[in-house]
Amino acid sequence: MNIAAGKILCMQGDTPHSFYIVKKGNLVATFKDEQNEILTKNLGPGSTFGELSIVEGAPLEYTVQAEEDCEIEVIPQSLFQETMAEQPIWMKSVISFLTQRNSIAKENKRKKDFITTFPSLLFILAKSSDKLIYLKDLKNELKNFSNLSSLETYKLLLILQDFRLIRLQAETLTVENETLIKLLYDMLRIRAIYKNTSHYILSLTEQAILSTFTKTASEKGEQLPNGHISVKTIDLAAQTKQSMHGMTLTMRSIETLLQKRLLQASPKTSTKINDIPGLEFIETFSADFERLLNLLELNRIYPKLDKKLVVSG
Amino acid sequence: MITGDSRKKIIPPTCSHVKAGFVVSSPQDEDKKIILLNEGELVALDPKANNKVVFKIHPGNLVGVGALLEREPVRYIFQATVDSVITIIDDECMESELKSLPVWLLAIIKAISARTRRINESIRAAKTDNPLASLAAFCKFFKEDEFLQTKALLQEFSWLTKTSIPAASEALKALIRRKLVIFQGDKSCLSIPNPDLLGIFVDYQKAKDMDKSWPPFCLTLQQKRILVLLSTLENGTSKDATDWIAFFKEHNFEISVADWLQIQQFEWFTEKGNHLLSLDLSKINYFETALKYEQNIKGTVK
Repeated sequence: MNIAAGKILCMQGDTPHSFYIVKKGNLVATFKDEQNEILTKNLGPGSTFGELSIVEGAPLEYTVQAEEDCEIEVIPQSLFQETMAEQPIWMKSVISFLTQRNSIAKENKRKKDFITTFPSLLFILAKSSDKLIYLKDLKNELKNFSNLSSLETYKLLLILQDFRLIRLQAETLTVENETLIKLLYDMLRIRAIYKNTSHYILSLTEQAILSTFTKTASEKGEQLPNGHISVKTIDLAAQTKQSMHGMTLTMRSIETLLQKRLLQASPKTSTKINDIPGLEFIETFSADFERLLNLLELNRIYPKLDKKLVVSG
Repeated sequence: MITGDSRKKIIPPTCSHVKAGFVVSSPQDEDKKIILLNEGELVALDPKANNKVVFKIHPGNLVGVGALLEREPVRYIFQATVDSVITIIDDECMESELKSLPVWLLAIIKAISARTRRINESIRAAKTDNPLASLAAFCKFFKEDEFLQTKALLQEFSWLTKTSIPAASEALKALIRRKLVIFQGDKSCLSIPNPDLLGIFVDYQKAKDMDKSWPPFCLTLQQKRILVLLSTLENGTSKDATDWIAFFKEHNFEISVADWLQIQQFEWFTEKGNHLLSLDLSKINYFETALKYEQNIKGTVK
């Protein structure tokens, strides 16, 4: 087949069910992505294209135009099928295996790009000084870190919206909980780089005690000059018994939270240094209330995150 | 059209009957082969996981294509669970079969294999083509008074973009050379003197990647003077096009229609309605900063 300079041989999205071999001349293949950005590649003598179109009827990924007069060998699907009919049965299996493997690789790449772009998205959101961000600007920024498509990026944003970390509007997004985004990013960073679990990840007991603390603080808490909220040990112990099915609050169960400085203990004034530890010697517990709420929310989100990323991707 | 050779020289595949428990292929085998299961059942056992069953192979399925055609390592042991009938296509047989295929069919097989190989390589590759621009984009998010640990910064960037540490270190060196990033003390720490400048540098790099000219470095002398004049005005100063041209004339700038159109492309003004064009000082500052640090951006700073 001869094709004159400037003529378009096939368009992106066409399903010609043919395979093309460039015999003579040069063509240019242009690929337009969903953001209308155009990528090009040259197809000179010996180049081939349309292999998935002939084997499985896949649409062409690019528009091909002749830069000069060209000679192209076009293999129609009918010839492919006739030739395959003459081959041993296992040859068909080999070709079908290769195309399947290609589809699996493509899908793996898409999923991996999706999952691995999530931290970059969190990074940008965590570091942005504005609470209102234009989606266009965010996508442009994200391109510096990943080549994830717009559609896939939007899917990631939907996950964040599901977790109530952001709110999406038509052209913008609003950061709803900047602190939590930062905590989540830090946790992923520590997990990936240092292969460690962040100390923000709490055990179920720790979560239960902190939940009880926040509940007690909401009802009977006292605001301290440093902004923290203080709760009497007696109130905390009573609330623990009530909301944790009769469980008794002990110093042992609260110890790790003190070590992590999530709770601070104020000993009774009469207490001697040697008397500590012992819950009976602690008059009040105090904590940064907002921080605790964020940590509890973080621990609610975190176990769901990996699954959500895999399912959404 | 090439239709292929005759099938005379073909070495036929071997058909074998194997007993239950027979290992038909394993990672230790020197000869790579494709195994097509005709009857019975095979299982794939993972030798690295105490020979745990990974998957089952049913009649009509085949294994070993990657090993034979792509020389990929064989990961599993394939063992018959019941008496089975298999077809073995070894190197010689495959080669003779491929030789008999029409050239175009061989090209299709090669193209699909190459496509998969490229995808698999891209999964392992860095997520950006320009690590320098990417690192600059990463660094611009940090505050100018922040002291950053060099090693931790490189690790974090590498994790986000899958850029290798050596490539990230090279990119960092290029930013240091441009004085866009500064080492502190014994190089274990660094700081970003002007995060906005890094943002400008990223835009310059992007234009360079696309072989596009970058507006701040394409200004004529008159345009540069106009830029300086505009920088003295208040943000949001608004006039229609005729008034802006008259304003420039008042300041001894002869502006042709072509000049005016070009200035508008620089986006120094934003349309405000009623044909009014409002001065965008942030854009003016952007151009001024780019010009001030041209040597840093271009990498010619001493």
